[in-house]
Amino acid sequence: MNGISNRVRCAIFASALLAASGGLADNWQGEATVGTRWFVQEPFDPRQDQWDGFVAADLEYFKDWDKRRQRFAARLYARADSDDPARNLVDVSELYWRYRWQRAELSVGVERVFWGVTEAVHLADIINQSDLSANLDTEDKLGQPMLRLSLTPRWGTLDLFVLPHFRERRFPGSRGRLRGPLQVVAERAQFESTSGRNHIDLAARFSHYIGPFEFAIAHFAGTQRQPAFVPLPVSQPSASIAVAPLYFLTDQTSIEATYAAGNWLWKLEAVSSREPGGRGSAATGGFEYTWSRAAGTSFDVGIIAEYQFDERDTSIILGADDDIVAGVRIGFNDFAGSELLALAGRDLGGDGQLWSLEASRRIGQQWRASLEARFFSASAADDVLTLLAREDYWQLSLTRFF
Amino acid sequence: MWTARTPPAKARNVDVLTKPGCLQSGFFVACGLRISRYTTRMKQRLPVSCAHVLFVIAICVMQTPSLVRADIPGFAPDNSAAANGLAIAEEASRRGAGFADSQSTMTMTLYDGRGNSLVRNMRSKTLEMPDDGDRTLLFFEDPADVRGTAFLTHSHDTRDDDQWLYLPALKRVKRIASSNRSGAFMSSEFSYEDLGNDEVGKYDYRYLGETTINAVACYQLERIPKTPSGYTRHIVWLDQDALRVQKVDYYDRSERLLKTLTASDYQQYLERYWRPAQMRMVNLQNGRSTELRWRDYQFGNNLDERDFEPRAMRDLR
Repeated sequence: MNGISNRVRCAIFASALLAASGGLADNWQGEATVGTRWFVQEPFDPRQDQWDGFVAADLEYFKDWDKRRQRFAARLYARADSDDPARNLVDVSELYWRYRWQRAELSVGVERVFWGVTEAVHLADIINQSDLSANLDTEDKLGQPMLRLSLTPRWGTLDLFVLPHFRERRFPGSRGRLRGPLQVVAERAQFESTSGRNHIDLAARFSHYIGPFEFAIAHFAGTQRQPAFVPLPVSQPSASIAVAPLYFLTDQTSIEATYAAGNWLWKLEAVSSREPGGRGSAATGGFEYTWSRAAGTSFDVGIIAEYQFDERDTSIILGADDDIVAGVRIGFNDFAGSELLALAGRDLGGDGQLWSLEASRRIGQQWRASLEARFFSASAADDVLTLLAREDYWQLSLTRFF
Repeated sequence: MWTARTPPAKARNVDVLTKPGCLQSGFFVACGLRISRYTTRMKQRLPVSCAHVLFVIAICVMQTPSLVRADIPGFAPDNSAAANGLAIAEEASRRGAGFADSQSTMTMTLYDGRGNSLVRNMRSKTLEMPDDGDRTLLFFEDPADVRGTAFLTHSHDTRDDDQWLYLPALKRVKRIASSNRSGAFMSSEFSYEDLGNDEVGKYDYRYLGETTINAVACYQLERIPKTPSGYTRHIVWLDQDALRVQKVDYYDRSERLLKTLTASDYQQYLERYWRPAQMRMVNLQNGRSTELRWRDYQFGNNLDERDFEPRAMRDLR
């Protein structure tokens, strides 16, 4: 059975990682994680399971020379899952050489670049592809090959990107969870561009800050990171709906802004993108209000509230069409560095709801334990959260840092 | 690596910066992150003749106040307490100005008051800005789960500081609300504001007189924060010899004594700038305390503004 061999492979991988318990040399840094997810409800599809386990490792190396003008950096990420082969991954998340001048730098290779300011959804972030098989929050990214030129005059930063190879979004496989009844068949991916994955994407971003005000404006021309889905013909009856990802070309312009004032931090992201049916736009904005040493304790407590709307057709899978998200972030300031982030989201147009909890604390000097829970509910058939209504889960993981 | 970059096109000229008139920089950078060998010197002498030293100090205090005060422009017995307090703060700032940049390694030990302690290490870089508050960059080396996290402060004389946090897992530079200043720095008893750069313009002052702390003759000042703060006021003791912070009492919003800071083992660098090798913050309300120790202070690293841009945090290793 493939599942069993996967589990064995997983176990070997895990023990090898954890056995390497010594420290790493100066230019090396790494972490290894073991974790398990428990899904509260029975799956849609009998091929899926209610439990799964995974191991992951992240190893990083860097070398600076030539009076720090030149840098070589490499980072490798690997993950193995006990149930879902689509969650197995070996990814080069960084592998680049960079040269720096007085007010410019050039880099060639694979890098990770984050754009954006908000917490709940990341609209402007488009350079790196997301790995949804790892997590739905789009914060797990795949390495993106690029040529990047950054100019840093006194009046801002201008980043220019040439992105020669397209990375496809990763989704859970037929046996994996967190996909609802939707089964994305990645091998059947279709592209609007005739050059497919080899379409050369271009991007530019200008960013600057003036005291408490910070902003960025960016443009991206190339293959949309988020695909639309095309139903595939059914060959045999199945509990799942098989779909193929379809990647359109887009021109996307985005703005990001933050404004800091006292305990308040205001945030805004907005995008306008060309779609097959015309231009569509999306925006998200809100605030974070922080009390330091709240109510005489040593806790830092932050309140987060964000609103988002998305009128683009391809956004349907995220369900971020007209939602409000609010929550609390607590930093306990204890020796274990305990943290908690609890968020609740609600679809203003329907009855869909999302609850999310992330908490973690350090154990000793080298370990960290993390808990993640997400709950989805929706009854309206047209609400995208209905797809996830039976995918509530708890995830517990333990990470060793080297 | 934490070494200096290529020399900037415009090399910093320390002499130009030290001229009076160019001196807007921090009043005891990082609250006595600049301070002295004075106490060390005292300790060395004590075995020789404690009584003798105390006698000499007593004589000095009695006989030379006017001489010492003559070192402080704007200080006069007839002036108001506010004017004298400001005069001392400005003079302390003037004496600390002109260092251009510095970098050091810091070890922080947290004590929970119940016998448990926790050690963490970080590196810090400071850049003096001729017409603005200093810029400080902190890079966390351990505990391992926060390694790579960095914290950048652009402090300002009269308005809120600008602060950013770098989260290496997401490669994300995140703006921080300025009120974060009163939050705990890495779970320690130091707030971010205790470690920030105490620009002269951030406070109103009141001169409270001369006192002796740990056998060191000091000026005692009251500082009242003008920008949002976790405190209503500080009482500061500066030694008369070199205007180095010896002790600070912090009063909370309900006017209760919250914390006491003592700085010791001052070392002098470039024959001019004093930095304490140790600082201890004791929280009198919860019994916890934090000790900071510095080592490997380096000056004249040719750091420039580029090293203190938010984007620069992504390059730290």
